[in-house]
Amino acid sequence: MPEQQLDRPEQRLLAAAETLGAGMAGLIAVVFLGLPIFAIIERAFEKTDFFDVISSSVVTEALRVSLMTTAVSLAIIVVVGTPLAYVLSRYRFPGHAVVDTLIDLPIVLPPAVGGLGLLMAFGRRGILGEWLDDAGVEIAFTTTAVIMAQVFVASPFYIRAAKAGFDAVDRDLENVAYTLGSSRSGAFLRVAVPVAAPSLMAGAVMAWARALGEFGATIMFAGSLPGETQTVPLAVYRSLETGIDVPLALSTLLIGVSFAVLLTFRLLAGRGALTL
Amino acid sequence: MPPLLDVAIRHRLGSFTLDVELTAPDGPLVIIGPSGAGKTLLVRSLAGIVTPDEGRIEVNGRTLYDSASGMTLAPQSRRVGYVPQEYGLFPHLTVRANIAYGLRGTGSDTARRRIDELLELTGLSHQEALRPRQLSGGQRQRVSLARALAVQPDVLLLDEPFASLDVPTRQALIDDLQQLLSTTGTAAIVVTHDRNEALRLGNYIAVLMNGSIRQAGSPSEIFSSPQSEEVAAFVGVETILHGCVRATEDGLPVVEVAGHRIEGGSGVGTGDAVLVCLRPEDVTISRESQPSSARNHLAAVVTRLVPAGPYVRVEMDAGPTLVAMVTRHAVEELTLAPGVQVIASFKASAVHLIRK
Repeated sequence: MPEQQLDRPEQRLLAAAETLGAGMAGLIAVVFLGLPIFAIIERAFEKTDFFDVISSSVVTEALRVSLMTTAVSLAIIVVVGTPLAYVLSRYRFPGHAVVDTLIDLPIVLPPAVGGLGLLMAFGRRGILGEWLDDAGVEIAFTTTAVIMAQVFVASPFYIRAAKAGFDAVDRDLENVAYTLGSSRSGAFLRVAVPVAAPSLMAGAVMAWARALGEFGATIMFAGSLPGETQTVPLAVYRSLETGIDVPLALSTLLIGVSFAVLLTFRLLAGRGALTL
Repeated sequence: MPPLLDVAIRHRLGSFTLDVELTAPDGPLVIIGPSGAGKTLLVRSLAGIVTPDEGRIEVNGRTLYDSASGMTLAPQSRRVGYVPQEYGLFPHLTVRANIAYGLRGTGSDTARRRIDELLELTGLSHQEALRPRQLSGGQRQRVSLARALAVQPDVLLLDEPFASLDVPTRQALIDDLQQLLSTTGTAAIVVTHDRNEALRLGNYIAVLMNGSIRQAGSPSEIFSSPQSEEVAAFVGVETILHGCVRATEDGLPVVEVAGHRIEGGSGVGTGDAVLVCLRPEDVTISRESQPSSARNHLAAVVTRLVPAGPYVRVEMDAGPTLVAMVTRHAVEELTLAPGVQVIASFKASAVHLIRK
């Protein structure tokens, strides 16, 4: 057909342009996202004393604080967030929308605002902090404060994913479990949680990654005391004052750990190990 | 014996109102109705998943719900087995673990024996280690049934048990279900939109339309004499006769019905108890026997004439009741009136047999 023949060179040209365009966009993205990562690693290893630097006390202490606090934060987020997400998914109650929105708020707020809020609530002059102070309990600028800051900024990521996961579980599964004698909490633990497990895992990974990178709220509410409240991101920032070696080494470690966790998760999910 | 089900409940859901009053003497009870009639809502109310606004539910004389005395049993204590439409299998558990879910002390010998028994009964012994997604639709249904039966419920609630199966499997599975229910002696309440399933499974049938029970009774009452146009339109008017297959001649079953010999239908064997279904428009009436290609001719006496638009519904007594739909003109020409002797004829191909 003549029409088709006329069309052909144009179509080929268009297809070529599309391929080129997509390739360019891809290249730009890879360079833009990849280059800074590459630059950090390249510069970190350029220094021959990389392994000396990462065994220095600033680095090991920051790493210890980070791993310890994010582990505790994640445990708190999962233990409290899972039932909360389930209730939000399964039940409608007055104020449901308010609670739902409140949970999302830390995602859009600047972390520094979160830190300020925590200070105003639990700091020595804070609403609850004054009482706690009278009772001899101090929270601000302690390791506990680091954990609270992380939970504040990271929990929405888990609760979002968990709620979406529970939304996708057929309610009839729990209904059947009830008729087979399961209590509400029994059906939650034996049916809803295992069935929603892939979403819970994904949410936990996202929340943990967010907690690991947490900076703004932590520095406002917990400060940056080495060995106590100085996590890896805080140490990166603080050690810039004394040179570039330590920040580079810490950043490399952070990149390595984050990449490994995300990749492992992706591979597991891709193999179907996390799906039913 | 208390009735299998005695229920009178009201439940509003937006603009829809479920207002059901029903006493079913024995099972299997089939609740038949078009989609949107409130069937699933009714089943969920019986299971205790939904609490009605008001009313009373009794199963085998045991009160499950009574708003007057403020009594509501939780689903956990109702002793009902619930088999939802998509079977509600736990996707993370094996077939065996699914069946074991409701049993206490699953490690014990008694529990293990009970599960083995159910696996065998449902023909799933070789599938016990598989997960639900690896099973066919029919196998899934059987796992769901076995899981519900494991806790020995007073009554099984089956919500559209065959809706998600393809037609060939459906026929075989209806037989299997029937057998399973009778072997285990379990009473069942089955919800369906399919009149064939209703006829095959039901000892007692209730027609649910737009939230309320329009008619309840034996299968022949429902299908032979629907009491309203609405019910008639939904179930399709049929003459239903109880019979027994005596022989098969030239591949054609010969059924004995109250001393009459009826030829036609298919898919049954000698000795089977069957329901003979006839659509009234397939039955012709003549005053005397005349040669015809129709294989079946039954002598009958006209008992009633009911005008129905351009047609007249002629009810005849041939031992059992027969119904024919003829034009008004035919009524005049044959001078049909109550008491008149006639011959009712129908072709072998108009006969539809349902094995009971």
